[in-house]
Amino acid sequence: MKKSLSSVICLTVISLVITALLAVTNAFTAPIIEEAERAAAFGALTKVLPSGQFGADCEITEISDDLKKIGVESAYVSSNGGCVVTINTAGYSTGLKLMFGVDGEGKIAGSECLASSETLGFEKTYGENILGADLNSIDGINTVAGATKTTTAYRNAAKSAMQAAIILGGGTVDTRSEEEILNDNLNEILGTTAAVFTKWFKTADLGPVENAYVSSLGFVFESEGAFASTDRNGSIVNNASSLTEADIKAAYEAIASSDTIADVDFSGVAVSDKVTAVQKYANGNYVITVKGSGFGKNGPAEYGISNEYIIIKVAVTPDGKILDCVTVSQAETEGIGSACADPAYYSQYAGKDASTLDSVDAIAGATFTSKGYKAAVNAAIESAKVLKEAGK
Amino acid sequence: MKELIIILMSSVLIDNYVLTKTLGICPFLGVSKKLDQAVGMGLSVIFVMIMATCATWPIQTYLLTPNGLDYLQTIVFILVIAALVQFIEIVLKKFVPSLHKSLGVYLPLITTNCAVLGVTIDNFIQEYSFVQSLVYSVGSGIGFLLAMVLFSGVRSRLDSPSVPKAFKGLPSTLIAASIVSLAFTGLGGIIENLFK
Amino acid sequence: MEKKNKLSVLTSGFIKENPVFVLVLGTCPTIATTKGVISAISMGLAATAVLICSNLVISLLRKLIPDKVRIPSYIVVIAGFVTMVQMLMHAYLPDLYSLLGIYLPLITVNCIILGRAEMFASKNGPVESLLDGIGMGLGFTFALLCMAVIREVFGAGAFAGIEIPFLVDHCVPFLVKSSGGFMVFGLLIAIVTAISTKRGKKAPELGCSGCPAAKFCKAAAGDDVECVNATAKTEGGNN
Repeated sequence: MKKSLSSVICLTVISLVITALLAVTNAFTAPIIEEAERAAAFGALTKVLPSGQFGADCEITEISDDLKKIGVESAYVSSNGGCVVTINTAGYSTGLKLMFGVDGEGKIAGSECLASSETLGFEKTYGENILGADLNSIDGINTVAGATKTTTAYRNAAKSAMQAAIILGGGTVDTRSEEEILNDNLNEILGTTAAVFTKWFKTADLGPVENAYVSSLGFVFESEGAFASTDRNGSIVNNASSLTEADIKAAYEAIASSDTIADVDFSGVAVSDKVTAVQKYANGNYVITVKGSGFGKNGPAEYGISNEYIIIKVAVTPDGKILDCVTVSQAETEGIGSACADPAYYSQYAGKDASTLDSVDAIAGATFTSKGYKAAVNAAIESAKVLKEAGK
Repeated sequence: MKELIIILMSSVLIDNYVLTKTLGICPFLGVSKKLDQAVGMGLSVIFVMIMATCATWPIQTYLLTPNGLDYLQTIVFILVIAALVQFIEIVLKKFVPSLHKSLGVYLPLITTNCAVLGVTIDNFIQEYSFVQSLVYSVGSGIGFLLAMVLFSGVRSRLDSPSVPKAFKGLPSTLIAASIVSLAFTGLGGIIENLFK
Repeated sequence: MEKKNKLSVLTSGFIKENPVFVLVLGTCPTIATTKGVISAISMGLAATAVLICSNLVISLLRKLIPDKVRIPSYIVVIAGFVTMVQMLMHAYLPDLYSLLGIYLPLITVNCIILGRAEMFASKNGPVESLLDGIGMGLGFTFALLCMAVIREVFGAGAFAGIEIPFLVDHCVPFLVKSSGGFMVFGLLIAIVTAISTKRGKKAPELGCSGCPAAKFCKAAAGDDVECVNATAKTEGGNN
């Protein structure tokens, strides 16, 4: 009994002595470890903002809605001015995660790509190009040819980072999207605040008016980048453009009277087999819905194609002049052929006819989509002529 | 649930303690000559790994970490495992003598088995919850048993062929272990392809 | 026990009784941490530091510790030194600390350390134990380095992380995998076996000498287990 008691005491004493020694070592090393871990955590921050000083509470734990809107995921504020933000962006495929350092003067001090699923690797080197840029000069910096989407996304993210720096500094910035800015501008011209505009699908030739925007409160007409507006009854509210009163009235009438439409029964008429629906307007113009065979139909099957048509709505005069064109639906390769749903692509067709159709620029890297799209639009033009011949 | 299955499958097949992490080699080489020994040792390891996780997880989570005593982890864990093994042996001997008869002889081997200490520490490196830790310890134990059983099968044939003199005994055993381990490398992508 | 030449105590651990290749102790870290030269050296030196300290302390305490709690006491002392080394590395060598990861706390159950405590430090004076710790520790480091050089140079085409031209394009990645570790270890043991058979010595066998569970291992595995005679052999070598 005595023997085992002494054993227990001995083991206990050894354990206590060792524990005490460990406590001493810990008291000695713990601050160093903590400091090293903090340095490691903030090392990435000083890499993009070398002049930054990051205290223990430098991280902004609650990202405001304004910051979230411009893609900010996390933000760190340096005690001597400037900040570091990480931004998630949509690039070529699934996006980049970028970290930007913005110095006290609001200029880009450094950037780093934290995560990327891009294929070309330009996101790793592009950061050098935007060093020292500020909000005014950033748009003038060139993107990299062949990696336009990636580098544009990088540049836009840098812009957002500088906007974030202003927000973090207590300022306000315009975080509206392009669509929102346009809508606000149109409201201003109409003298309203809450109108929601949609771009009018041109089923009539509006003469000098290039684009018309329709809302429940009134219309806005665009010509050569300037605007004029009328209320729902056609009285002019504002005219900042070179349009004459007659032009505006004519455009208003054309839109107001375009409501009368009739579905055309085209059975028995030799229209293209791409045509799926035809509507005829009072002014004689047709709106023809066509299906185009892009990569989704004609692409090599081993790429796992979607087997879906591109559905396109084309407004065309009986003479075969395209008034307007819009992509209704498509399932082309995301990031490549899917650009056919981009207004920048399909708005090219407006004003073209069969002879000038070839001047439409193809989508880079999407031969199948571009060819199929153009063929479908051409089918709409030809069908309009056939329908006119048939008296439909 | 899916997460638990992933933990279980990876600890058995991908991060196998013996063949991939190379922990617990001594019993792997020492007690794998016969199938019944391999099974007995493997079952004991599963048993002790589960018990050790049950004991060490609460100690670390509720005693050491809240009091800033994380640095006592190694020392406390090894003592807890040693005491636990002793305790299990006594309990088994007294209440389940049949089980003690079959497993009892392997239990003392496990006290200084690095796989057991490894699992209890790994639970915290991986930041597993209690349930995840339990699943991880079960998986690691099964992985150990699997490696033992497979290897005992290989070893039973190791003595019969004529090997060069220098390779007799330990060298040929190690090279056989290398081939078994290589076979496990082949399972590498299985989890990702099953669950993603 | 007759008085030994202190120099021979120091050097025996290096070649004649190399803990890895001759005594076959500490196989787990030998395979796990020899994927690269840097991790091998850090593992070796960390274990050496623990071994020196634990050998010294256990040798000093050898008359005070009751036989009954001998092994638990040794384990506590060793675990204590391991934790100290762990904390110091975490503070001053954070890169190496994260490189070794879980294998650092597992030095506690490295049988070389417990083995030397049980076999040598508990029977010899502090000076000899200290020398034995240095010799064995450096022997361990040397052995890990041998393994690591072979594995990293031919497996990754690099030395301590620096790429070697030509080899980097013609490496055998299998060698840096766990399976390659078993293979290289097996081949090195085979070489040692060949040499020692030529010199009329015993071939290396799985060393259970230091393992406190060796006698259970023997009982569990039956009489034909490999790790039976290591104790006798090593003691013979000491005397």
